[in-house]
Amino acid sequence: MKEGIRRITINGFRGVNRPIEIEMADSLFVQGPTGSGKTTILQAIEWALYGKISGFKGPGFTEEDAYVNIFSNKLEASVGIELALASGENLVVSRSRKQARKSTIGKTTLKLHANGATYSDKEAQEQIESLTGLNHERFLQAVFLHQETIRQIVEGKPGDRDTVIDQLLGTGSLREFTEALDPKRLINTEIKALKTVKERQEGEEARFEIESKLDLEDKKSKLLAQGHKERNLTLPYLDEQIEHILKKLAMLAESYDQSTQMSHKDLANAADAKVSFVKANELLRKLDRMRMKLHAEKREEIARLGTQLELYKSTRKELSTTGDASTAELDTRILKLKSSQDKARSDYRQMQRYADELEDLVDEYKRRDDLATKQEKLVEGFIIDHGNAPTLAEKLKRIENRLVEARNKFRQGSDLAQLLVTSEAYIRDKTPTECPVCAQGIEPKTVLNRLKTQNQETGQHIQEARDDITKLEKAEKRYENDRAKIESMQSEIHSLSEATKKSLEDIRRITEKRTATVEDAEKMVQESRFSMEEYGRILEGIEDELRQLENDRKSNKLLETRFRSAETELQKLLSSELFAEKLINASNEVIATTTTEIESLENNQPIDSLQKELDELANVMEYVQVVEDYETRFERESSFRVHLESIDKQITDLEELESSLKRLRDTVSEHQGELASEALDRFQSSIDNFYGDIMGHPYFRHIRIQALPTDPVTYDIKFTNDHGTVETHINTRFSTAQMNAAALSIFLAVNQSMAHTLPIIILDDPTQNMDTPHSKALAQTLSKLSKTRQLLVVTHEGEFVHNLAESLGRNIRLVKMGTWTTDGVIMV
Amino acid sequence: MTSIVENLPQLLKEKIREETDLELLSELVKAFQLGGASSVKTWIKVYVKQISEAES
Repeated sequence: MKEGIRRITINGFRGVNRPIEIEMADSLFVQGPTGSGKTTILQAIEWALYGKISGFKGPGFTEEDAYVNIFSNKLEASVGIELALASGENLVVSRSRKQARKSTIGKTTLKLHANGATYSDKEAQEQIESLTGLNHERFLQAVFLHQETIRQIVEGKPGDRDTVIDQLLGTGSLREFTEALDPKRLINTEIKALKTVKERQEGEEARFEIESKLDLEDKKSKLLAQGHKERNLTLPYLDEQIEHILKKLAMLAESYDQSTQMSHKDLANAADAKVSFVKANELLRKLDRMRMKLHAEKREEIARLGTQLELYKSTRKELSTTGDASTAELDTRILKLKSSQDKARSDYRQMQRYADELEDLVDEYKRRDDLATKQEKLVEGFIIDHGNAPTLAEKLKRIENRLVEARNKFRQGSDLAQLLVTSEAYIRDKTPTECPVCAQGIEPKTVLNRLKTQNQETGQHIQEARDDITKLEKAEKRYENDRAKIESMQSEIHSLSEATKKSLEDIRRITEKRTATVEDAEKMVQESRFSMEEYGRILEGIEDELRQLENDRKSNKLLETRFRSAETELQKLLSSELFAEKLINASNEVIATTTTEIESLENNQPIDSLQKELDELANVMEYVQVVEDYETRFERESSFRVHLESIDKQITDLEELESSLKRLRDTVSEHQGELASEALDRFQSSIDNFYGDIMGHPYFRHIRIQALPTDPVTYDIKFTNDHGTVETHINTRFSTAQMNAAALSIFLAVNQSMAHTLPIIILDDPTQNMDTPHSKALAQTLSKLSKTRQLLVVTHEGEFVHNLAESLGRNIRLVKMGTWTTDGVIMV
Repeated sequence: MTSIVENLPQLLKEKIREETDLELLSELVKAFQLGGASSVKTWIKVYVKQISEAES
């Protein structure tokens, strides 16, 4: 691969937002539509190497706007280029610029890696130019042909064309420098301004002299006519007179002071009076303002109050006629309602009582019902007990039987005992014959024993019988009691049953009656409630009406109060005004007295006399002052002359500067012409050859360029035939394609002959205005040059790219670009 | 790398007779080196102002 550019990386630079990287080949063609960012790639190379782009200058130019992509988030432009120089050295150049922010300025940094060393900024720039043998001016002259350069040759005015040729020949900066040495307008303007100042000042001085002389003569003649002597028209005389007047004034002042002290009291009084007057006057004005304001306000207020009063009166009248009647009627209605309400309440209370009684009756009924239930249960119990009565009777019978039996036994025992006792007595008395027992044929002893035994048995029987009797008697008593109780209970049950039945009957009747009564009562209560609610609503309505009436009455009372207040305030104001008037009258009297006194003090004849003297002196003083001014002005004349001389010097200096600049411009311009002529002589043959190859004109096959010794230098470009006998000039017969070919020829000739270590040809849109045959011819010419040069061509013409590719054959790289967007250039 | 304008005082030393002209050229070339043609114009403008305001 040939020497030249190896790789280009671009990020955030001009139209490039997203980073792009281009690997170079021996030839690189960039093809794309207008505005796709093709030229940006070439500008990136120029900016990376030199930090500037040709044509980007002037008042509207800002580096941020020119270099940094405005859609990039980082707001930083960076371009990196890897170069392989013909000297065998490899360079890695990277340049970046951060966009200025609100608080920072934009800053460009440059880094260069070469020969194992790293350089920064200024040192890096010096190394790039030194190692490549190309500064920016030479780079544009021999390596990079801008499309703008071609356009200025083809479409520009003669002056623009000369400028471009100078750039291609390497004398562009001399032209630029020469043109800057033309401050004719600036210096001439300054000289003219200084001359104007000088003339004006000289004119003013002369006019002053004449006017002053005339003025002096005029004043002097007037003063002499007034009786002043010429010898008195001097400053010493004036001083003397003024001193004299001052003495008189001092005397007068002393006498006035005395007079003033004497009437000090009067003056004090006058001052007081004045103060009083001022205060009174202020008060009066204030009162007057207040009165006016209040009058205005009160008039409105009174009018408003009058309206309201009228309304109030009419309302009151209306109320007194209709309202009172309504009130009476309402009162009646209220009383009636209250009566109805009382009656309803009474009925309600009665109903309540009925209800209470009914509840008591119900409770009583329930109580009695419970009692009847209890009684019934009790009766049932007794009935059951009554059912058991036969058993009891039997038991009683048995007891009675046993009692009878016991009694019999007892009687038997008693009889036996009696017999025994008798027997014992017979035995003891030994009269067994009479012994009833012995008579029975039984041995008395046996009989006795038997008797004793019987006696004992009988005693036991008796005792048993007694016990049984006791028991039976007790049982009998209990039985009797029980029976009596049962009978009593039966009687009671019977009577209770009867009473209960009667009570239940009564209760049912009462209940039925009370139930009917309660229903009636509830109905009445309900009706009363409806009536009461209705009455309540009516009452509320009436109360609202009454409240409204009361409010109206209060409003009217308030209005009346405010009206009274306003009237009182007006009365106060009127009395204040009267007071102020009195005060003013009193003050006026004092003022009149004081004025008289002041007039007497002011009427000072000596002061008037002195004033007159002073007035006369003032005229003299004016004259003397003019004389003084005149003399002073002429004393300043010398310094004025110096000033005028200074202006003359400035004018001379400026004229000399102008001459120097003119001489320098001529010399530099001449030098520029010489250099251009030398360059053209050196390149003429080569330019002619390139032109012939590209254009292939059938007759005007040769081009001749000549630098003319004009200011500034101009170039005469003409085409000739093979013999140089027929020629035609650029301004008359050249087509735009021929002019383009001329520009390319000069550029390629310089490229071929200039010594440097960067063998590249960079062309931006080189086929402007060329037809297909010439475009093809250019492709063939470049193809020849590509043997020793790396080619980097940017174009929108696919045909030209095709021709180039066809001519070159191999080691070509084509980059196609799409339509540009805010995301950056698009490489397709 | 020196530019073509930078060498002017040296190259034109023989052609410029006035010493003041040569000094002026040196100053103007320095201005050009700093900021191109606009700097030269500014330098001259300032110089003219200095002259015109020197004695007033």
